[in-house]
Amino acid sequence: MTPLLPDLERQLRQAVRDRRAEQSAQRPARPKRRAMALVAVAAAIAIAAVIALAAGIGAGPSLSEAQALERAAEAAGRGLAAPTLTPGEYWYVRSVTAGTTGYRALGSAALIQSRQTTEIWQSTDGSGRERTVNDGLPLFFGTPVARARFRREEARAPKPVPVDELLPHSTGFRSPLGILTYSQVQALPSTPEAMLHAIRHAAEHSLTELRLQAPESPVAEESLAQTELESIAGILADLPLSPQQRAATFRMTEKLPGVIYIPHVTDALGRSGAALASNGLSYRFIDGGGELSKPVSVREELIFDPSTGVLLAQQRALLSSIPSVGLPAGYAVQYTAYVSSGVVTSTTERFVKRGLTEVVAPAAPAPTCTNEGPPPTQLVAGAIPSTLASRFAVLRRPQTSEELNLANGSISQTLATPGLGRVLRSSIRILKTHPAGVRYYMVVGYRRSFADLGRSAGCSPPVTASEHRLELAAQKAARRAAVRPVLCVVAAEGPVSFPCTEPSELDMIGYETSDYGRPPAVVTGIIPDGVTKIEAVYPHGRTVLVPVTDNLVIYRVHLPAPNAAPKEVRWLRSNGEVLRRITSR
Amino acid sequence: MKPQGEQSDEQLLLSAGRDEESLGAFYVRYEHRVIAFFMRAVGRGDLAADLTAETFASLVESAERYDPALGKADGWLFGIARNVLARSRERGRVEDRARRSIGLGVLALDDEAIERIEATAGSADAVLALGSLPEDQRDAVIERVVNERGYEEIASELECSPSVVRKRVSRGLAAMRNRIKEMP
Repeated sequence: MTPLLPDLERQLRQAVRDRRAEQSAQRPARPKRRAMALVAVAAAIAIAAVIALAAGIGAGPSLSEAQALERAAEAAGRGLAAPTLTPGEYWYVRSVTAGTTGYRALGSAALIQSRQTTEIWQSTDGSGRERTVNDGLPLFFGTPVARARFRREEARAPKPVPVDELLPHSTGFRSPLGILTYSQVQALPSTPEAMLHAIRHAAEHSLTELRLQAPESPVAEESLAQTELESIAGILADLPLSPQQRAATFRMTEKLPGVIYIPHVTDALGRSGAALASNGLSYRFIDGGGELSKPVSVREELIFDPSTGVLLAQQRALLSSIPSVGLPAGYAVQYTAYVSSGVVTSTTERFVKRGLTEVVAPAAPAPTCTNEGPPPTQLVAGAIPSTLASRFAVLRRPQTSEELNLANGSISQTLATPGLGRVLRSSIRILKTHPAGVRYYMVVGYRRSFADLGRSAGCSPPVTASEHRLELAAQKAARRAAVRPVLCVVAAEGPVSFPCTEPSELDMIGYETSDYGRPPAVVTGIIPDGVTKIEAVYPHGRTVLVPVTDNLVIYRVHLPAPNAAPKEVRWLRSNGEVLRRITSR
Repeated sequence: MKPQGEQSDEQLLLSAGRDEESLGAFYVRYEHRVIAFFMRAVGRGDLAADLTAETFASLVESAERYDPALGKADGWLFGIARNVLARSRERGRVEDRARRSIGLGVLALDDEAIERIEATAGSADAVLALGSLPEDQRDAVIERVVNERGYEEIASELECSPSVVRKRVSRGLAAMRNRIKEMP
């Protein structure tokens, strides 16, 4: 049979040859380094370089520690660095992020630390700019000879392309509490109890989802204490909080178990401060070879200026040295140091420190790249199509007051699912709570076609010639695309969702797993009226019987990704009669 | 070691990340089906080609993690394809992470190639209809119509007589025609 894409086959073969050559040379793979540089723009990913396996739980802060914390909270509450953002202004944050990755390089185990500087501008309407540049050559930890050789090779290597994009439709402020609009930021709690509740809820949910979605990811092995400390760092550093909200965030740390206060700490940029810390954690390095893949003990630290309550850095410091690569105890194997933040009036201005104060200074020129992103999902009026209402009782019942509130408000982050361009207000239904605690909604909407998704204009490098063709053909395709309503189930939080389905595709059973392909998978099915339970048949005769509630079945199955879709699904009436058999595709 | 042609899909996949001949053989076996899968999802040849490239690039990256004890090779491959499609939809552009990561360049794709893809992979409706067939009919139709194999050869692989294969193909095609007529 003749290949349809002979060029693809040729390129794939070449890539495999290259990979084999790189592996046999036992040196850091160049593409991997490049990929690392690309993904490291997000602090969360940098954090993935190292992990916490277990938290040491100790006593809460002592009285003097509590007093020190209270001083920081009072300072924060007095209004230092307390911005008010008005339309046309941008909240600017500059940070330096570093992560350490393990390698089998130059014939022995080694560690590499790369560092990026990230600047983010974010306005009240969601527009902004994001710029990330690599901060010098990566550090290589190994023998002096290996270090010299690495530096020579690295100096000759092509430099990573900086990421610099205008974001006209960014959805909001990214934070550990989710992506928040400015009004949601302003509505964050200003009491320690409520802030603790919000942070703990987000941390627990984040860990649950990570363990579900990416169970092999080291980040999924973090302790709750560590996730909470990271959340506090993200909230204090990335969001334009009011003085009261900042004070509440400091005061809530008193309530975290196992968190200690350290009066004198130096961050990775050499700045002095006090720290909130969690001891007894251990890290392992991703891609580590040999002895370096063994966990090492670290301390998670949140360093702040006790006199102002300004957050300086979040870092993970080694509790003991790693002699084989010359890393001393106390070395920060991962950190995000917050350099500067404040309110500016354009994306070509930045805030810099001058002496004891901060002043506005010119930033890098505006980028030529505009990443429009998908336009926001719209809530629209209209009746639920009869083809759907007639088959799903959940859509026929009147909307509750909570559902009406959702329908009459602006679209929430949850319902603004990336796949949908429009959602019918009249269709929003809150489904009964899932046993795992995740809330699900059913909505009727209209799929976003590839054609009406946002474009990235002038962003480099272009991926493929055919992608360029995609953009040119997009409008044409949009005009001829048939618009059919689809039925969707979306999770209230987190990425788990059932792909939207057309009525003609109801015999599909959806499942979601992580990229790692490990169990469990979440299996979801939208089931029409008259079916009270479904029986799903898996390989080796294993069957699962699941009741249908609100026209939905949802369950977890401990099978790896490819086999998580059942071979056969039987729709059963209440008397056990099989209404329909659907075999796997 | 067996020649590539005699190796199972699972054996080929296991070494696809480091042996170009295994990868090539695996690619040839599955290229049409993967393109057909994406044609069904996006309905455009150029997009289907890009998504296919990303899927196989991702497969090259992840082949070392494949464990036959956890499932068949086609399940693994289409699991990747589904994830590539979902992520591309979310990002609003065809995912390119794996292609960048393994250093794949621009895919040579002219109008003729796109037409060939769309013609060979069939319309989205036809593929949807194919998916609705019982497993025995679907396998027979794919092997005969899509992979253009002879009845004798298919019969030997499926361990049945050529006349049974003919019957399955004929019934399968008839069912597909009916299914397409019923589609909205």
